[in-house]
Amino acid sequence: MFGLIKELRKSGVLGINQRNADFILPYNQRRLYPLVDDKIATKDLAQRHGVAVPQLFGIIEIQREVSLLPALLAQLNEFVIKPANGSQGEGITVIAGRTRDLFRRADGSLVNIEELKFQVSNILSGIYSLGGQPDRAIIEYRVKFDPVFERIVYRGVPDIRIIVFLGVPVMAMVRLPTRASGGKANLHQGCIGAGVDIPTGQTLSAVWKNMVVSEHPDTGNEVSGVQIPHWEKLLEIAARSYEMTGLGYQGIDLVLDQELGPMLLELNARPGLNIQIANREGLLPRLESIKKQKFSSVQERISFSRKHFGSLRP
Amino acid sequence: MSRRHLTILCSVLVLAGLVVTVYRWLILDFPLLPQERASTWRVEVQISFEAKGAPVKAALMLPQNRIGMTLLDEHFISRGHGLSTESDPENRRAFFTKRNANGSQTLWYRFLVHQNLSREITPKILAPRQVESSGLSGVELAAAQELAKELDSYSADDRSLVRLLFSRLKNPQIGGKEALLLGGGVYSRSISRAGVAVLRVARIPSRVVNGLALRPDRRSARITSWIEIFDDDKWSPFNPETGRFLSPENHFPWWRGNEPLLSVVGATDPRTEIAVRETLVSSLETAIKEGRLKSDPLLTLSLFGLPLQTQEVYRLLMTVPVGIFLLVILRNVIGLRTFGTFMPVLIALAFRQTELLYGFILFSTVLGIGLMIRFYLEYLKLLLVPRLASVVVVVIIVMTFISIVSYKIGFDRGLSVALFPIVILAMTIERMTVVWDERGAKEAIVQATGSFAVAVLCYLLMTNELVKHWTFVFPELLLVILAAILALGRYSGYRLVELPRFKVLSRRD
Repeated sequence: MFGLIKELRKSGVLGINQRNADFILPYNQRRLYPLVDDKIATKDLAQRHGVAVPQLFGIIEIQREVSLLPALLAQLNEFVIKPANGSQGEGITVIAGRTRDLFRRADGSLVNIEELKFQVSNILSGIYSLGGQPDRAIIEYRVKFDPVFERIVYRGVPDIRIIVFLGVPVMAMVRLPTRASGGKANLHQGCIGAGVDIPTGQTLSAVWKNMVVSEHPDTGNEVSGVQIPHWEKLLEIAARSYEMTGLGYQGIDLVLDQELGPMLLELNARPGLNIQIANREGLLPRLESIKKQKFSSVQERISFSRKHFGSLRP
Repeated sequence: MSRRHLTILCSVLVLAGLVVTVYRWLILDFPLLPQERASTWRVEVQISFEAKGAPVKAALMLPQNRIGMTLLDEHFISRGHGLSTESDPENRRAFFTKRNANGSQTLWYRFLVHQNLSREITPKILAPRQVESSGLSGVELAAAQELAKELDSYSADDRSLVRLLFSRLKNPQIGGKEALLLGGGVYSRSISRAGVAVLRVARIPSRVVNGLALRPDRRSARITSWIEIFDDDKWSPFNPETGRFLSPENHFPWWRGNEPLLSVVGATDPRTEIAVRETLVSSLETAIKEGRLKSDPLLTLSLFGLPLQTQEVYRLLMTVPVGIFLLVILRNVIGLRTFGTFMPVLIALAFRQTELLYGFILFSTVLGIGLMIRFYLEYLKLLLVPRLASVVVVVIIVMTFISIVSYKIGFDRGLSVALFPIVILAMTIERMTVVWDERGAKEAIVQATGSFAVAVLCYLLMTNELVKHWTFVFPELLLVILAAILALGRYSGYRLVELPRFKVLSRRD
């Protein structure tokens, strides 16, 4: 066991205790959390900084407004319902189309309007929010993902997670929904995470449920070696997110829409550590090397990142 | 730096906690182990004399509190005699007086003495201003002077003189100076008295000490005498019996000087009968009684100052930090996941009352029935707060039902189900259904098992005799626990469950 601890230290693997004690607590001020915990605030912030976000169709704030849901959804065929303060991708419903008066979820199952209303009520009562606080429900544009991912995604929207430390993109991965994850892009829920080589924007090997895989379990297609479009733009949004929120250590979730290009999905003040497994590399050495630098511009931070944070594995 | 700040804070807390603990342990004699028994002795003195109708005054020597020896309880049964006590630096006396007494009189004096043999017995008494008079005269004084002169020429210092003197007093030659001084007696008392007289003639400050052997069950114990000489700025005991400068083993000094234990004026045939019995008083009780005598501030600040009912509550409460400390380790160092942060500790508290096996059965029953009903409520699509409230009500109904049914079938244990924290149970049921819905039954059962395992570990720790004893008797140890928890607040090592998760990342090349 101690041998394993030593090896993990040598590989610079960041553990959850160290992430909290050495990065989140010192670099992320508590008062900035609402900016990223509340997805409505994040949307606002991003738009003021000229970053594209999925269009907001409506917000439901109180129980009484739940009865307005059918009217709100009348014109919409595809949309996403999510809690404004949700955590770990919980409480998100993705509607991909309609069949008569029923709604078709991204995983193909059908729901009626009553079930959607109940879902919204649950969101409002705070079931999915951090600390069980009363919450708001967001209804927003469902991203039509870039065809480049068509072959390696099973029913869902793949997203790109970039860890940003002091404005420098540190590590990146794409999360590819699987049948097991129910169309959700969350590693906890069983989606694939594939590391992304920062200099080139090409996917590396992937992990699925803590195993290293090279093919998508549902489509059988090669996951690694895929070039992510708009990579430079994605890196720039990531680097600029530091000025946007002021959080020193954050995870930024981006999606690529086939028409609208890169969009900011959400920000995370306590990003998970699985990105290390997806990249098969520890975060610590990269984070430490950033601590020693002084940067004067966003461009400088990006070029530092692209120069030094290439994958060590072919 | 905050890290240094924390180190200093933790060190201060640990130091303060340990210092007070050690103080309580060593100075106040609070026992480190539960049920440690201190040797406490009950001594009973029966005093009797024949009164002749004249005013009677009986003087009894009383023991005194000294370092290493404490009187815990003292009782006089004076039976119509007036009672007064007086004390001087050396001794304490009780006077029983009666104007008109006739016939055989019996009085009692009884005390409880606790002796700590690990401590120095000899009290630090100021140096005598001068050597007291030997009390000898005539031929005895001459004999003593001659003996002192002789001994002086044979010995190097006071101590060797003392040894020499007593070896000669113990084996007197018939018709010799020693026999004259002893006056025929060969008991330890006459030897000590004669020795002290000679030493005083030789200008060595000395005195007789009269004490009692503390041995189990002695019906008629005898007073033994030894001496003390003033040497190196303190009184050192010397035991004529063994010829060593040590108090006789297991003896406690009762009074000092040549006076007898009981002296009576106005009556005849004074007698004393001493009975010694060892009593087992828990050392905690002894320590508390001693502390009361010393009126120590730390004792008034201890939990023993509270009413008994409240003490029981704190007995329970004081173990909670220990459980929480374990919980911090299990969550932050091991990485176990539980429902709610402190739920397992509260469940463990309930287990303390129900006992583990029954606790487990009752807990799973309530949880199981609660879950079933919660799934039914899910179907009704209720809002969160009313739903939670209904679960609370259902939990109470289930608990009432279990209590009534188990009482009817004669299973009394079932009654203790009422001790489970209802709201905690309801929250657990709610959390469990949400996890069940979101992540599947497997994850819900894993988390429930984890919570339960943590609760059992907390229970085992919190019901440990040592833990219960330490937290209650030495509440300052909470400062040490607090320091440990604070220190864990900056623990940045891997959690145990992260090791298999990150195993693929270990660099074997």
